[in-house]
Amino acid sequence: MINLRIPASPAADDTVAAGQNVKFAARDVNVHYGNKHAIRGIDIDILENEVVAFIGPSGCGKSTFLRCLNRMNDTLDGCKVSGDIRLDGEDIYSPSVDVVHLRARVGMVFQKPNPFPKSIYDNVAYGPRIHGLCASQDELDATVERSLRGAGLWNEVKDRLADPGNGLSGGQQQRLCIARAIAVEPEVILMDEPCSALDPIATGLVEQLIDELRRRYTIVIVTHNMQQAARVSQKTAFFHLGDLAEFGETEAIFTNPRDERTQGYITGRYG
Amino acid sequence: MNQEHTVKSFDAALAKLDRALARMGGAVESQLADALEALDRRDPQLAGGIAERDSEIDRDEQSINLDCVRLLALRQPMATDLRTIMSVYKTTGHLERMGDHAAGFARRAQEIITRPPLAETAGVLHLGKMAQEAVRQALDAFIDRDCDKAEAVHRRDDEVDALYNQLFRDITAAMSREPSAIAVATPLLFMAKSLERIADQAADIAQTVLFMVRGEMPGVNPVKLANNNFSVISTKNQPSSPATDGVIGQESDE
Repeated sequence: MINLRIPASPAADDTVAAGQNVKFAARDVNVHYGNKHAIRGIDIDILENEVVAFIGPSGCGKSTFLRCLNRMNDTLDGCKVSGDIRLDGEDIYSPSVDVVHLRARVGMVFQKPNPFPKSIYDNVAYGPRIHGLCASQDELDATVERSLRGAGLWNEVKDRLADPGNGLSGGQQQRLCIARAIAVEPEVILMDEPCSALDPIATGLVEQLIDELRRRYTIVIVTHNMQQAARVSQKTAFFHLGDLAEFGETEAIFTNPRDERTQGYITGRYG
Repeated sequence: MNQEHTVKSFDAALAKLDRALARMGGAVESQLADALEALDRRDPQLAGGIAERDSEIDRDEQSINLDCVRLLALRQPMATDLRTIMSVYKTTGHLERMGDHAAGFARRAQEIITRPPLAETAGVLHLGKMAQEAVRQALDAFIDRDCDKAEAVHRRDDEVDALYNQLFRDITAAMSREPSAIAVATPLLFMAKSLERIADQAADIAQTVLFMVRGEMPGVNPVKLANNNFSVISTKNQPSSPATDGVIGQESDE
């Protein structure tokens, strides 16, 4: 008898060439907050144009590890990151790395939409301006439009670009933050529970956007919503007490996890 | 791993599914046992009541499947829970088919026990014992989540097929020898086929158990090309009977 493993799920859009280049390679990554060992020896490869979901109970280290990927932990007092994290083979913790440039390459969207207290236009134009990405006003206008279109927001805001960004609905604000992130042409977008403050309709729009964005970007998403992880990601990583307990094809993780801790967590037999 | 769900009512709902499936399986086992006994004891009254019980089994299938759909919608199960619910859903379908086959067997038994018996009836009863054992073991494997038992059911399915093929040859040979036996032999062939299908369904349940427990889909059995067609007769240069032409195998749901 031939035994077949549950096949890997096909890509959401088979016309998208599956990027097989390793975008992020992390080896033996440890994070300490003072005496607390928050992340323990994480090894993971994140492939280009993939959506990878990080799941796990609160305090498991998933957001801490996510923030290691664009050095957001650098600003935290008492936080020490060790190990090796490479973006396209380049050590992102090398002293020669420009962190501002790194964060342009690896953008981030947070749990709570956080538009700047500026107009919709200026929210999106902010990054290209400070990074000097546009040579003219026309080019900047085109970048703002392209970014808002990319975030699926253009049709809703094109007639009121001068209105304040924080006057939009929660879902629109989150898509505005995504537009702001993609305006600087990042390679990777990190999302830390981007839909936790959104209603199901706004969540659906963001999930559809994630599916579209992965044609151009690599996306890493932290989520507490396992159905969301199952819906949007190709790979899922389960973190537990600072360990990467299991990492694999999303379909396999949610139908036949290998690790008992994963099994317990995703079936609700936790604690 | 903690075996209980944090939400206890989910455990209760899953346990209820298991109990309902065990009850449905028991009803099918009893239907099959009575059908075989009716043939063995040549009891038309017993045979006559069996088909009526089939609607109960159909209702069980619908009710259990609705519970599965409800759990899928309300609990959004993952991993073992997802596989368990899908396996229950699939297994009710197999049991329902077994019930149909047992009912068909009983109807034909009722028809042939008014006529002189064929010697091959003993072989059909033996095939019935093997099918019964396969059903019992498959249901035990399901309830106990026992892969060893499930694999045993799978292995023994080849023996069932071998006996069925032997019976097919014997019964068709009897038809050729004695055309007056056709009126009994033809239904008897269908009855043997029903038993072989019941054992097949049991093997499918066993396969489902392996998926449920291990999360791996056992390989698909290739389409059977057993010697249960008319080429057997023609290769022996024996004339085929008009009464059986194009009939055997039509009932097959392979």
